[in-house]
Amino acid sequence: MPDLLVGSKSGQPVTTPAHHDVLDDASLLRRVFAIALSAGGQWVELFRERRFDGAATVGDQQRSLSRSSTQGVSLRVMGHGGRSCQVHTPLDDPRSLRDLAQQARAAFAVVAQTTVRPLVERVASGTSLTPCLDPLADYVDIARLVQRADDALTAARAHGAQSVQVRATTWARELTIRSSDGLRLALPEQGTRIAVDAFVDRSGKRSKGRASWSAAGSTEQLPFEDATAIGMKAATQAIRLTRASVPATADLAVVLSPPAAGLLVHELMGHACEADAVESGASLIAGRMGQQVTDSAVWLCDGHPGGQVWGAATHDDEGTPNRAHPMITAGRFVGALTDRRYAGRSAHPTSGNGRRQSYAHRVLPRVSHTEMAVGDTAQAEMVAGIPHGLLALSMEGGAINSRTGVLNLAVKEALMIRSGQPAERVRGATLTGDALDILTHIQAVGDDPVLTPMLCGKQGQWIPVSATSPSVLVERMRAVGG
Amino acid sequence: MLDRITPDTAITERALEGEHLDLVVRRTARRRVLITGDVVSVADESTEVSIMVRSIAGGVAGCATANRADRATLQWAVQQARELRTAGRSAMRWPTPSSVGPPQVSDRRPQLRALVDLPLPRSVAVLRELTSAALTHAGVTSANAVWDHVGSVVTVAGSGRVPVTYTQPEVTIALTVRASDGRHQASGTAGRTAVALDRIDPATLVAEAHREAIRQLPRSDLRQPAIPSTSPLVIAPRPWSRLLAQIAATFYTDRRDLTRSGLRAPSARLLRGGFHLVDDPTAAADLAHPPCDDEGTRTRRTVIIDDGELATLLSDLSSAEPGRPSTGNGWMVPTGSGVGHGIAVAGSCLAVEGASRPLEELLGSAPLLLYVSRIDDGHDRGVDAPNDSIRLTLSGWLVRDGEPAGPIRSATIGIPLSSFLAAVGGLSNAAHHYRVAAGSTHRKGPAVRSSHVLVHDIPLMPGEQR
Repeated sequence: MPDLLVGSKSGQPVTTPAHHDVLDDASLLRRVFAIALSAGGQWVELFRERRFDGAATVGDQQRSLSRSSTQGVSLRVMGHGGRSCQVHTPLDDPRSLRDLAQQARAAFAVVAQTTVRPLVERVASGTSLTPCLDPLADYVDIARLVQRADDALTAARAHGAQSVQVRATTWARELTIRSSDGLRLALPEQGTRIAVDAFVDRSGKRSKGRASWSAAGSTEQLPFEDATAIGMKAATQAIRLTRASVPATADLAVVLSPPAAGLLVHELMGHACEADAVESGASLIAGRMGQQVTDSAVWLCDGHPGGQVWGAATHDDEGTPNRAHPMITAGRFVGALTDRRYAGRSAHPTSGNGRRQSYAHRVLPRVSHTEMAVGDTAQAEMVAGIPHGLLALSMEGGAINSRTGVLNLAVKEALMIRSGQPAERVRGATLTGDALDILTHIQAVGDDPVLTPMLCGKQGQWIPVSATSPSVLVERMRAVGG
Repeated sequence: MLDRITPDTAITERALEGEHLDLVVRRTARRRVLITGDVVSVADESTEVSIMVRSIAGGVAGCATANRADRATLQWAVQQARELRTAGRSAMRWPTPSSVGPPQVSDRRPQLRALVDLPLPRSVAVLRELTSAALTHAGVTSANAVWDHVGSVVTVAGSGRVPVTYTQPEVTIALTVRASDGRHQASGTAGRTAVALDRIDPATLVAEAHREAIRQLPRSDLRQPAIPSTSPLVIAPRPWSRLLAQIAATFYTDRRDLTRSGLRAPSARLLRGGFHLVDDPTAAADLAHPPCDDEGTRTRRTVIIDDGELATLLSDLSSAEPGRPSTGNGWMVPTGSGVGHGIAVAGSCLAVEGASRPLEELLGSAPLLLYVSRIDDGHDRGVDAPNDSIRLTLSGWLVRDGEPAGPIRSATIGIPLSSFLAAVGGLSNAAHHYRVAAGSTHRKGPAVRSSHVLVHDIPLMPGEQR
């Protein structure tokens, strides 16, 4: 469950153009669903994705631009006890949909250990394989994306970076969901992110600073000022890190500033509350529903908070509303994050957290926007009480291993704490420890919340997520230097 | 369905004057089955296609990708790639791809579905046999198994080159067991990737997974020894494959965060004499050998570290160092990742080579050592080459005088990466193949030919001893 940190910003909704749609053919859908369910499935869902990406990698002597068009359909059959099969194809013409339904029927028969006779479908001649490539292309402004990448690159150079690389991407995505229980939903999405890596060489060593910006909207949401700000931020971090050292390995009290705490909240608590981890026993809080799992200052929920927020939408990828859902209340574990599959077979209600990277990926229970409620301890107050510790300023990413229970968070930039004061700057450290031990050693929650956008990977699927968190004090974590 | 599609490689011959067009078409059939005990919980099947068209002219490239391969889509991709090339103002010097020379492979037009040819019930039966066998072992309380079968037909074409079509079938089987002594629980995992099912020995997987789970349980008959502050490590092939993929990424030419100093200084001494880091798809006996990379460059054995000294970096066409050709390591970024850049450097089949010994000799090479069966690395962030640092959390068991002596959980190491590499001092004669998942969305994951690796005298901070 690893993550890449990216920057922040909200955007505007996209409206997709009208076009003739094979998924509006009710008789075709009835036939497709009937075939798919004929091996004993309970319900079937048809999920279509159309996506258009524009991307630019801009560097000192490099400019690589690309466009990508992706579309496809998946058919998922669910049965008793969470048994499921999924088949998918890039083709969404009527013939392909019926082929897909037969494939799903055969696969589900194996899953359910039922016997089915092969079906022979009469397929009309002249079935079209004509692609429908560009309905979303107008919403992806690669020229503006490149301009903003150039703005960021110029700003980074102006602030002392000797070498710069900017990766920028913008996309529009249209999801259409139909299911045998009557769900009909179209969900448009847009996203833009831009990440600046600035490099400064000193004494034969290269320091890298990174800053990024993300929005659940188009490039229109990215003004010149924000692009230049991340260029400057990356460059100044690279310069600061030339003077930073790698710390010695030690067990320390750690104050995580809000962007670092956002990653902690996501990895330590967000993933722990996902229903698949809870049900399998892999979660550190599995079997502890209703019990105290952390400090009573911790209140946590997940869901779409309203407006345009990176990683959250009004509905999940199964069409379930993704409302704010309490997970931890006053330190007690009160709710798991579910998709339809897990909500259907457990005591947990559906929370609208069924998410997938694309039509070619399975739905999994995933966090969206996780929010830790504000506490009442100022960050300075946390630091003042620590004789020897670490103040983590920014992170590169991290992961929790559900099998070993070990949490690892890679620190990009931090300050040592000596005698209650921030001291020398350090880099290249990893915060690690037993996840349950860390959870039970949270001592204080701050009053300075910040939204941190991330990219989260789970079972090979990368999706946008975000976490809003104030500073957090952990009594003891191991800081591994190098 | 996608078997009906034959990609029109002739579009690369319709390049404009001064333009070079590259085309990659990858059609893939995939089956993924997950079984828990006797119950099939997942059975997914798919057919996919991805294409990439790249237009190069005047040292500037534009790229377009899509997940269809019909004529209209190919024409769209060519148009998009040209448009983006025109928008670029690169100072980068792209070499002329046609100068590389085509691999001598004919266009065979193989059938996609033939690559994943076993009936689905047979896949299920194989997994059931695996979990049933695991459940007969003492202490095992549950078992689940995964079948991931991917068959690809890849066509690589370019202006002025003979199109190449090759097949790449790959099946991965993994088994996870949970064991219990009544008070404690532990799990063990084993897996392999091979060109076909008959190259994977189920009995070996069961034995490996069971051994790991049992040895992770506390021994009531032994007094737990203290973890020494410095200890040799013997890293098992599976965690070593992930670690090696990270280490090898230090030597990719398109790493902008690394200069040619320190670990990447020409002729830098990185390993002990007699050890080599290679990328060699031709030597992967259990895996298919792609004849060329996704830029049409012939794949070959590349010695990255030769007899301990850095010899070559892995490159693609655009990042190859001045005066050097591509090493044939330009691979399409997995589709749907949204990162856009069409080609990135990645290893093909990585391995550390050198004199090898039986595992028992490695385990007996010190009175007390740590056998590492799992590594926690923050998802590929354990190797921090820019800071010359390696930071890992290790789990496994202590080995005293060659015999298991109790489980270890969460011992940490944090030392210079250069020191770690210099301490690599032995290899077992195992040769297991793994496909390492891409650690990020920016690169294809490499295959690794892996063995047990002995690393001398590593400073350890103890974690929990159960």
